Amino acid sequence: MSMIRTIELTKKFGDFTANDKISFSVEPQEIKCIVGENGAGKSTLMNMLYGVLQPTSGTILIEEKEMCFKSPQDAIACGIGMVHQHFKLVPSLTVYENILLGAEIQKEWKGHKLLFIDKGEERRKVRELIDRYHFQLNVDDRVENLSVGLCQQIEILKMLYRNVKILILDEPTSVLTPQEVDRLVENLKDLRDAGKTIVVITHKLREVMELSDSITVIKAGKVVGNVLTKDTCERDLAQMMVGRDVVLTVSNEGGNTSGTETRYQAEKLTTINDFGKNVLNEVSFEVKAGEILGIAGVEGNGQSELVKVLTGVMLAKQGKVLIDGKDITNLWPKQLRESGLGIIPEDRYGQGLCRTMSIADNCIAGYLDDPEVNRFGILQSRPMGRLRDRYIEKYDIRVGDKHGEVSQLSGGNAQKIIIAREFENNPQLIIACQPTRGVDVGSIEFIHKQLLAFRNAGNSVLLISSELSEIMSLSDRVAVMYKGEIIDEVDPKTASTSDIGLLMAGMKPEKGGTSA
Amino acid sequence: MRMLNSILYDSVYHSAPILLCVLGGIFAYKANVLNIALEGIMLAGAFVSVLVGYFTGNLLLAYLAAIMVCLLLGLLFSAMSVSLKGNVIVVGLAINMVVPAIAAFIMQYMGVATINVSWLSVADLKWNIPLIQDIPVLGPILSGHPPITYISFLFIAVMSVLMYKTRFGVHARVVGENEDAALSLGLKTNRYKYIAILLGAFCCALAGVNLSLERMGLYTNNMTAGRGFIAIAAIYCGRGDPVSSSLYAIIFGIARALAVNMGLFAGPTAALIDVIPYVVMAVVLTVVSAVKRKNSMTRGF
Amino acid sequence: MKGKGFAVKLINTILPVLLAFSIGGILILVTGENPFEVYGIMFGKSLFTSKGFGNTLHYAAPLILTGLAIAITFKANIFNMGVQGQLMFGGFFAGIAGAYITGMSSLPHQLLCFAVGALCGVAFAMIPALLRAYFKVDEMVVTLTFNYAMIKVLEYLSSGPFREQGSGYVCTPTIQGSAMFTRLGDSRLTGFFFVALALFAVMWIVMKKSSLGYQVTAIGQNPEFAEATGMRVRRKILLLMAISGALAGIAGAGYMMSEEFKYTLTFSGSPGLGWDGMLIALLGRHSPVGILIASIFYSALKTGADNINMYTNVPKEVVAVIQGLMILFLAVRFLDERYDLKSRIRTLRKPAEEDMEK
Repeated sequence: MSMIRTIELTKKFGDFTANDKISFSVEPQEIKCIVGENGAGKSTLMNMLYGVLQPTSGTILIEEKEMCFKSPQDAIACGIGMVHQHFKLVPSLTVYENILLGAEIQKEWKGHKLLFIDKGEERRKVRELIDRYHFQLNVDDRVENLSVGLCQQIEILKMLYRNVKILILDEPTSVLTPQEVDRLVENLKDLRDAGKTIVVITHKLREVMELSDSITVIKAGKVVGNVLTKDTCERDLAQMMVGRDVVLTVSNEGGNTSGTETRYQAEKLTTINDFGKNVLNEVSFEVKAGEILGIAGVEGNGQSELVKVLTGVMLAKQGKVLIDGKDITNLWPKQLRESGLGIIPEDRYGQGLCRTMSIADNCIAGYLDDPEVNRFGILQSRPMGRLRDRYIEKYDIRVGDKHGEVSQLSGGNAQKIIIAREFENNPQLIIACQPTRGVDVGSIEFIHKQLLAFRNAGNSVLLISSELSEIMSLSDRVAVMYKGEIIDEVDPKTASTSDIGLLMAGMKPEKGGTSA
Repeated sequence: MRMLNSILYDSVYHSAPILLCVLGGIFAYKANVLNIALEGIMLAGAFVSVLVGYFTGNLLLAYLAAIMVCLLLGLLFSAMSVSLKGNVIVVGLAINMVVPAIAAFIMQYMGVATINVSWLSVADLKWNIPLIQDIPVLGPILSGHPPITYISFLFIAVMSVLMYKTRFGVHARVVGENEDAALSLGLKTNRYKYIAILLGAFCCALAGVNLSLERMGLYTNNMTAGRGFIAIAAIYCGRGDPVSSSLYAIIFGIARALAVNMGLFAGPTAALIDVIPYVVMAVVLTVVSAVKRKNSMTRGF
Repeated sequence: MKGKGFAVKLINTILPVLLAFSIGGILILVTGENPFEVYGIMFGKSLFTSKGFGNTLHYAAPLILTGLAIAITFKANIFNMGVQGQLMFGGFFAGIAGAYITGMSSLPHQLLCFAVGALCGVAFAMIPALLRAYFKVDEMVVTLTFNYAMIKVLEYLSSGPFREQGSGYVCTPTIQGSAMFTRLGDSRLTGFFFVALALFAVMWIVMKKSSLGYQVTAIGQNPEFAEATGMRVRRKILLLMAISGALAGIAGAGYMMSEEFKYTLTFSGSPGLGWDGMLIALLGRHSPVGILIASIFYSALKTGADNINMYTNVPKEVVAVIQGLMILFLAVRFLDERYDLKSRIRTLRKPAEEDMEK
């Protein structure tokens, strides 16, 4: 008897099919990993199992009984719990209040339930739960003060409290440090041995091999493989996910920077987040002309904050940023662009594009004062159209209706609009943050070629990415970030993946022990 | 001394309706469905209680009718903003406009400018507590007020408990603070929003009745005179916490009392005292926001 | 696709109006009159007689301006609810400038009054604007409550320092003849209407074609994007509030100079030209042309209301009721631009939220 089984489960959003006749099963007391690229449809599938979305067609069987979940509460009642990628915790409440949310214990008087919450009893129960599963949490801590790893533990405990038999985790390791990942793997294996069935959605193949008992691979909404972990390896999985060898075919010639001047400098950048925690600590680096500097590291070690500071969205408490010797510290984005910076932001739909505006409108964003399109403050629609057509042509942007909104475009093509816009305005340095995240493979190659061509023309690129392979193949030098600092710099041509992996975990290979 | 007594009495007198609106409105505020129709609903409570009192001569019926109508208005507000996802601000504004319009329409049709519940003697409604009413300073504060005024102060405690010590309070706050978290745990967020709004409507009904029927026994159009908005100011200043918001409501009530009493001395200038609540609110909001963002390095706008 | 979107928008606008008029019609029935007759009189007199049409245009003038004042900020998701107060402030001091400054000829005096009105509107709007831009204080609540503060302040000013002595009720001195707009023809129409039209034309260009209009749309749709691509959002907030305040102030000044001629406690009518502007902006869907049409329509409604009193038994407050109901129904989009009404009713029953994951 399978714990979970789906038969031809399908979900459509209008014309777009996110999940296409997906059939797979999960056996009791096993850890199953669902893998696929970004946008393959993994989260949609899990949302259907958890009652957040309803299937367009197909069946879900839990313990061989057909189920129809109309809300998360139905799923929980059926013994399924989900730990989301984006935590659903209430910052101002404490650990025990969050765990018991929706299931508060009421005070009783002579067998009748009163309106009031029994806080003492709640605390006791949660403490019991924490001890039973060997987690490290303090019941009275406020969630807003806790680290990401601890927050994830709270999410897991939330589900365990509700006695779920099946635990689903959506991309759990993308925000954890390597030690936290190890802890999580340990916890999950313990839970499995204690009788739970676990489903993990991820695209990190190394962890998949470490953690799972069986694997289902999803590509573009369809199941392309159902294997046992012991019968497969990372390479095979990657091939299934993408359909061909994932080795990047971009050739990286050139990039001889001996004797060139420094284009861009960051000196001792320091800043804090809204909770007062230091997220950047005296970060210093420089980028020479004609060079790509890559910043590697596990997500959550300060890269996002670094980019925010460098792109004018966040202030640096201390430190300086200079371009060609000119101080551009803490300037507004408009001034940064005027100083010769081009920006490919991390969140393309949040900061790079406006989905509900037309393609032409998005093509001029950031460069509204360009005399080609702006005369006396009035935007000229015909020159804007010509600009858009130029970009579409030159950057191979696939559009259905060129007068339409950006929302019709796929992630890769939308990204190309940003690329086109920033490159065409001739900056001296481009800050590219996660430039190929969620982008189809063809566009990835195109974007990489553009970056290299830009470098070869004598300009500079600051590349921040959590995809190590991308950093390694494009950069001339790589700086590794760990806990808000640049822990070391390496030469990608000579450094090994394991060396960099150690650095990403905070361990410098020469010295013994960690710097954590 | 007479003046001081008068001011103290008036402070309680003027604070009560604002207090009720505040205590009802904080739940909607915490649940992130700001109800700016407090003014309109209060006016409806005032109007309906007087109208029903006038026609039926039955006090209890007047109270009940006012509560019923206000709850219906609350339901309308909830249906349009929560279920039909209308713009909360616009719906609130609409209610604020429709209520006085309908009241004026009915009064015009009846051919009167004010409705006077002549059979009611307002003094009868006041509770003059025998010994307490003679105590020097506390006397006018504690005694001589109609029932709803006492209820309004009692509600401070009631609402505090409701907000922090019951499941409803916790859930309502979570719905406002992180709706996603609430949904993921199966909380019916819409239901909490509805209840929060209806709670506010109920309290505004009481405020309206207190304002018109209990205190004056008559209704003129727009007699709420912006009290609903002072209540909103108080809610924002207190960040939706029952005790803080009530404190602000009482301060604003004192300001009103001062304005009315000083009016006899200072003439038109007394009107300026009425500006105080709004200035206080602006200052408090600014200070709170500045302190909250003092150490924030993120740029927003 | 564009055609379908427009039809949907039209239905979304007309449906609430029809609903409001239907309910108004019921009220009229209750008073024993025939709604069609009443509506016929209302619109007939105000649109189809030359005097009535002139009056309609006359009262539409300030509405066009307040509608634009609201639209330009609302489009950027800045909720300037203080247009009423800004209008009153501007109108009041325009009246003071009009009354106390003598010896000027007509055109300069009127321009001066407009300038005073605009400046006052800007000044009053700057307070919440600065609080929002630099302290991130919610401007909706501040502007909303400040209206009531302004009412009190003007009450003080008009019954104290600026009171017209020897007048039975509270008012300021009447403005000089040089500041008054003269009537054209036999209706109340004055040159102010053409001022309003001119400003409409300017705002049309700004909102539809200019770089500022683009930025307004961007800030309203995605403020993070706006800032990250270099639109200095803070500055724009201040600029947009200033424009809004100026338009409101000019509306007040113009109304003072063409209709009221002095400030009284019922200066801008009930519920107030600023709130009328809210309805206009909603009816016109925050677009300049829509606002123009809505202003004329609504003005016809209001001027026609006076005729109701003359020719029927229906209290003219029915118009205020219809106005409130229109705003109420306009708050909801009956037909979403992408889904139809049926799916909207379906979502009423769905407890969980739909997540768009691509």
